[in-house]
Amino acid sequence: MVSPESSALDALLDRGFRYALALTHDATRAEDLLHDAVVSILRRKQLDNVGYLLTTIRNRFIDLYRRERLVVMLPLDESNEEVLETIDAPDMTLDPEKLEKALAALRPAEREAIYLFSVEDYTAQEIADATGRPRGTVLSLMHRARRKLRAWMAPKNVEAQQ
Amino acid sequence: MTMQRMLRDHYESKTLRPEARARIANLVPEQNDRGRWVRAVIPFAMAATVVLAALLGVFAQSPAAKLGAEIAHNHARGLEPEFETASYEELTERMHRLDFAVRAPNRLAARGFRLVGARYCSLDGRIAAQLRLVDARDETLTLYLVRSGHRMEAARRRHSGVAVELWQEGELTYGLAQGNEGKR
Repeated sequence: MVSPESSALDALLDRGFRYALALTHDATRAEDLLHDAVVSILRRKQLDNVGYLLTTIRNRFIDLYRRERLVVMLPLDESNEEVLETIDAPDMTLDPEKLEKALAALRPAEREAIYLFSVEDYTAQEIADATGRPRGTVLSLMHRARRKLRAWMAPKNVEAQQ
Repeated sequence: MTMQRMLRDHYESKTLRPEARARIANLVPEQNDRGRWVRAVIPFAMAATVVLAALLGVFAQSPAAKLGAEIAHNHARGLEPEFETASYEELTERMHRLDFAVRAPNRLAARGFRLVGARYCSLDGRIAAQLRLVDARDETLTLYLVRSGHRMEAARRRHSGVAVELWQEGELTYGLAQGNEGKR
């Protein structure tokens, strides 16, 4: 029988894993990232706060990938204040394989922004607060991510991408 | 399908592999033990808090609570007025032991109470006036006036079945008591 504690822990771990996956786009790295974050949290406190878990995963991701020089943090255009209340793509159908490739083409910061917006239901301001980026930068990241995903997912461009 | 829905479906279909979940969950049992200990202690902690709050309530009542209780007690005694008059000015003139003028409070101006008379009393160790008022339905209320000893916010309280309304105007603290006629 699954206890309430263990199902709550499972849900917490899955949320952490998905966020780590959004950052790394690699399931193995996401598991390692989550593992490291949990170890780090348990040294200091209980594992019971999703916000704290996501922040720890993010910090660990930055530590690892800065050291490995895998992530190039490009300066972002903050002038793009386009408001993204919803990311619409009514003409698209879900093709998991295409979506995997499209997400792989995004930079981690772009994936992170659309993940927090679409899955965790954060507002642009909440993403800005959580990631320490200006709101304009967050909107810009989401705009670019949407444009890239559209390009990958739109039927006419698929062949060109491949 | 919106892109937002597509992304949500995509990520929500991703879960930790069972081996990875077990490896990470094994790090956590210490926390669960601590959680159990905390949960066991919570009822005792809550009981202790209630007892402490009750003791503090008895021994460390706020000035407003103490004054309200004193007013309710006086009101319940239902002592007859020594000075029968419908005039506040006349009370000021006749109740010369008071160190303030007896004034009708602005707060009650619109409620249409009628003054019947007054007597001396004591509140918070000070000399005070106890006025008998009657409302439109001929029900009796008691209004208390005393020179303010503490700043206090306007409040409504209930003490032993007596509704007490406290407020301040100028240098005076007023208390209006109503109800619990059976004890009078």
